[in-house]
Amino acid sequence: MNSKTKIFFAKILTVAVIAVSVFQFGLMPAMAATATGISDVMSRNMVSITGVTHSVTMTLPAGPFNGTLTLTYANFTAFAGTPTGTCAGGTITGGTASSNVATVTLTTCGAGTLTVTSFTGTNPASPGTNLVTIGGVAGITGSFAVASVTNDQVGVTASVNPAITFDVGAQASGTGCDGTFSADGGTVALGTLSTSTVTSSDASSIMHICSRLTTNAGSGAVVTVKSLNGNLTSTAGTIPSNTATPLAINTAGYGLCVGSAGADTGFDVTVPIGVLPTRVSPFNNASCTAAAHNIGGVTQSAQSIWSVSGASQSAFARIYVKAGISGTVPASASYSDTLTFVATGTF
Amino acid sequence: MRNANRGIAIIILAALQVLGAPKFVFGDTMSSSSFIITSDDLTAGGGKINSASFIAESDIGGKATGEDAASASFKACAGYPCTLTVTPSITFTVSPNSINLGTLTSSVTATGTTTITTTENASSGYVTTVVADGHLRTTGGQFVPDVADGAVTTGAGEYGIGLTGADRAFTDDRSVTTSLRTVASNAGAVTGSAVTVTFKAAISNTVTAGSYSQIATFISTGTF
Repeated sequence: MNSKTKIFFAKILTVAVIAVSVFQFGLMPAMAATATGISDVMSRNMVSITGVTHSVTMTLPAGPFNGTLTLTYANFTAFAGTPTGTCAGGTITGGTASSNVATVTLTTCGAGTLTVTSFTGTNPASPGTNLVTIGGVAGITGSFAVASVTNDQVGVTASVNPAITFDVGAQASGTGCDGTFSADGGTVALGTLSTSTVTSSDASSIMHICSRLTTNAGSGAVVTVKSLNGNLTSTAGTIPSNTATPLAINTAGYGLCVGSAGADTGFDVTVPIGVLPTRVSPFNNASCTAAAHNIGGVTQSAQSIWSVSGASQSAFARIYVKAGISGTVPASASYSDTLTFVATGTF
Repeated sequence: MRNANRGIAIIILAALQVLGAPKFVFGDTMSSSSFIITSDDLTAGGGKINSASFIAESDIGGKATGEDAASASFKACAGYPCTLTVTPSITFTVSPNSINLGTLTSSVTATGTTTITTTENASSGYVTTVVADGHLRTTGGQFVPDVADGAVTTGAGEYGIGLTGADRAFTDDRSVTTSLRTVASNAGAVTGSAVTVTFKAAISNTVTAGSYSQIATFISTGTF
């Protein structure tokens, strides 16, 4: 083979190698640094809303990436803030946001998650899909979309009607008051009064008064008591009603108190939790039992006897009726009084 | 001599083309009960590229038929080269935008619904969340407690949401609070995926009388 032939085949071989290279590699797609897994969590999707925050997340391929990364939002306006973010193996600085473009600068960002936050904007004026294009000197490309909707909110409304129920009445001494009481009315018969003792509910089988209240009044409710006579009255005379702590033996007196024992007041456990009854002066002495006679006097005007400060279900209170006489109280078989209880809610 | 050299050169080029570029592109499959021809198009060069969401083949010298096929979800191009660009897209609607649960009583659980409908072509799908401006509450701050036991129960003071629809995020009743809660999601593209959100309110006797309201905001995000 002469030299010309060798040169010729060398040229042919060169052309062939180039051709093979083209065939083998030339048709491979160009591998741009395309971000994947791109999303933007916005604070609102509703059209024309201002000050909407953005939180962009994407996954970068192998880097490193340096330079600017821009996010161009079609149809958005009034971008503001100082975008910042994080990236794998590098830093993000130098953010700006204006018009519909947010820009940050990447330094040695590598493969992994990149975030861009801390910028706001005004949503598009029309509902639909809105393209966001990634660009910039860093060489990262990609696109994603965010939605704008006519209305992204649901307003839920409801109402609760005011309600209050109340029961009050006499109950046998052997039965405590609770949230199930419903026997309204009745009479508390004190029997024959004596100078040697103070007569009281729950002593010698004398009935007590139970009261029970359920209300959804936001400011609660109050139970009042009003005496018909302001005392125990008979045709022969009266037994006065006075506050006495305690009502002493051989002393003329008559009054009420709300039981001080733990079981004398209560309420149903509900969700939301109700309010425990509060005894009201002068019927709230620290010691009011069948044997402790610290009473408040009743009058012909309504007086608060117990209350709740908010909504409560089956709030109840046991009320003791007590009376005593001295030796000068006129004899009579018909001393009486009528007590009227009223529950009032404040809604 | 020159002709002989040219002949040798042609042989070398042909051999290199065959040996160096063995990426044949296969055409359509033909078969009968007795044979299968996996490809009816044998050309040199090109190859197959693919991802989780597409496969594309290329060849050199393939003959275009000149007709494309397309639907709402795909496009097939006859002939080469073929460039297919799918623009990212996401839309969703919330309707209705107001729900009146009426007058609540302890004997009935009041309900009202809204529907979230999503269409998107994101490769990793979408997530829709809901966030509220507070409790279902009065202007005085009284509120119906958030459901915490998985079910809004009549007679109990409870408020929350339940979901229906293929893309729903949970099957029990859950609260709607000031924290984002996912209500719908899908790992891929969807068209008109509807999730119905049912707002439920039950009250006890101690839920304070008054007018109650809440605003729930839905946010939908695609991951492309």
